[in-house]
Amino acid sequence: MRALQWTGVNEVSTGDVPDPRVEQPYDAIVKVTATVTCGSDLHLLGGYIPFMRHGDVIGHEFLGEVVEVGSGVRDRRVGERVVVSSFIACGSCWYCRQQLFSLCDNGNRNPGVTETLWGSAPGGCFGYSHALGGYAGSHAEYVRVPFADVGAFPVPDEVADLRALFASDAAPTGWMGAADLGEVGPGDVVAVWGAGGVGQMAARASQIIGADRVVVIETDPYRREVARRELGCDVLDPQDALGEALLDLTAGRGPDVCIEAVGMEASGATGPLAALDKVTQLARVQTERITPLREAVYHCRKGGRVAVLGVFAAWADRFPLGALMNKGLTLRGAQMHGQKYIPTLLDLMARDELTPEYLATHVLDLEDGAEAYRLFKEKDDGCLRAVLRPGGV
Amino acid sequence: MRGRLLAVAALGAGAATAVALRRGRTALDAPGRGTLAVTVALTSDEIDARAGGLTQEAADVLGRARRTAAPGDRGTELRLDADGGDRAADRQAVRLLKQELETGSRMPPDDLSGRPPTPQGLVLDAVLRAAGREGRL
Ligand SMILES: NC(=O)c1ccc[n+]([C@@H]2O[C@H](COP(=O)([O-])OP(=O)(O)OC[C@H]3O[C@@H](n4cnc5c(N)ncnc54)[C@H](O)[C@@H]3O)[C@@H](O)[C@H]2O)c1
Ligand SMILES: [Zn+2]
Ligand SMILES: [Zn+2]
Repeated sequence: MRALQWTGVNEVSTGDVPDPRVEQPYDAIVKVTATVTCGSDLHLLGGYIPFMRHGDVIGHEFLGEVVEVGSGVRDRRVGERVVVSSFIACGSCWYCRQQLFSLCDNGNRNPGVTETLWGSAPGGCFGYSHALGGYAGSHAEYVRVPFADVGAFPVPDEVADLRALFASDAAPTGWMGAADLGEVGPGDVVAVWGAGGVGQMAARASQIIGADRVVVIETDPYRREVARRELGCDVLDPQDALGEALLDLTAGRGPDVCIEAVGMEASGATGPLAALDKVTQLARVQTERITPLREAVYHCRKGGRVAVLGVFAAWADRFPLGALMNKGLTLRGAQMHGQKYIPTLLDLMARDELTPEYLATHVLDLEDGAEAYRLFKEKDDGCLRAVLRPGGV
Repeated sequence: MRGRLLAVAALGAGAATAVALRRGRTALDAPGRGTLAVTVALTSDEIDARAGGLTQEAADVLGRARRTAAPGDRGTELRLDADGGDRAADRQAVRLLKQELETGSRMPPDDLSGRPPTPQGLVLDAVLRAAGREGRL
């Protein structure tokens, strides 16, 4: 079959790979009809998560049709249109029973790397390097879905492909950040750093949950404009007196909840700290640039909550621990527990309350995967997310 | 580009060293560290009920394991004496036993065979080959 493969730092190309097959009784094979680029892929492509092997198939957010099921699959049926959680979870370990699906004990086939790096291993993820299980990704004609009864969800007829697609990862990540990690409630002012797919979904989730006001902080002017237009939230440029603007917006309190949705490649900082971050990241003295996280902790109100949705790989310098401790903040992060949120999100989509299809600014054939990543990485032509259609556009 | 590749190799090598250090075992292998332990999210009775469906290999490991109830609702702790022998193989056997008991299937380390070896990939391949079997368990 055809698939988009990682072939080196910042290099991808569409090539031929073997068709996937049912390997375990709980597997399904899904024929991919839509699969989308994600900010997480940029970290992989750029070599910041150095556990990619030449030829690995990337992609982890997708929707498709079940074409084959293993002997142990009970709920999924051939022919169903499904959206699949990007994280792979068994559904039966202790973490899965707590609905902490991305922490599944059994989803990662290569736990050695992350156990060594982080102390213990989170679950596995499609197309996200050998450190997260070495599973083939979804930018392909077909994909093997382990534990299909747990991770694949039938899409209601009234929800179109390009809407349901975002229930795979971007929308559940945003929902988790607002509802669980940030515990957003009525009356809260929520600040979200990053207006990519994840940040926009976190902002929308905060609105649905009942936040009083949502402000999106983003360096890219076009993305700020999209957030304002599509979500009706306030927007701020972090390089334009951010502190004063946030204090003004909250009459001196600071946001109740701060959600970081940028990740390890944050740009936009100025001054010596930014230069130092860049140099130390290149030299691998630190692996992340954390400007938005520093800002989130600094500007959050006393006793507030900070949620980390952006992906980080290892260690960061000059984290404002003093502010965290002395202001009594709660700091939480996670990879998304898609299986917990997808049914709720599909329901909201069916009721037209969550309509993320506007994120799909570009739709291309799988053969044009390299161009899709160029558009997405360079934010060219207003690209927010580029969708690949293996069956043709 | 070249700098990036070197950095990647350095991080990969770092992980390889970490894995190697653990293989040699120092602090982690201190008192009582001849044991490999996992917690299975099942009661001892539930484990017995599922034992019949295990592969022979997993059943053997279960037979050698000591069981204690885990605190709270966490299930059962399984401990295996792993003095001498191939520790990486024992560790992987314990993981697979847990998987079989909890999920009814096995998720062996991913298979890198059949991929063209690349020059930069050599260190990484070594790390990845160990990654399914090594770790802190
Ligand atoms: N936790 C999870 O499960 C999960 C799931 C999906 C994605 N992610 C992560 O979430 C992050 C965002 O994903 P995405 O798909 O929206 O990515 P994206 O690259 O499309 O969006 C990131 C946005 O942050 C902006 N940005 C960069 N520097 C900034 C700064 N200093 N201040 C404010 N904004 C800045 C960029 O302009 C961009 O619009 C990534 O790190 C991704 O890996 C996490
Ligand atoms: Zn993603
Ligand atoms: Zn699990």
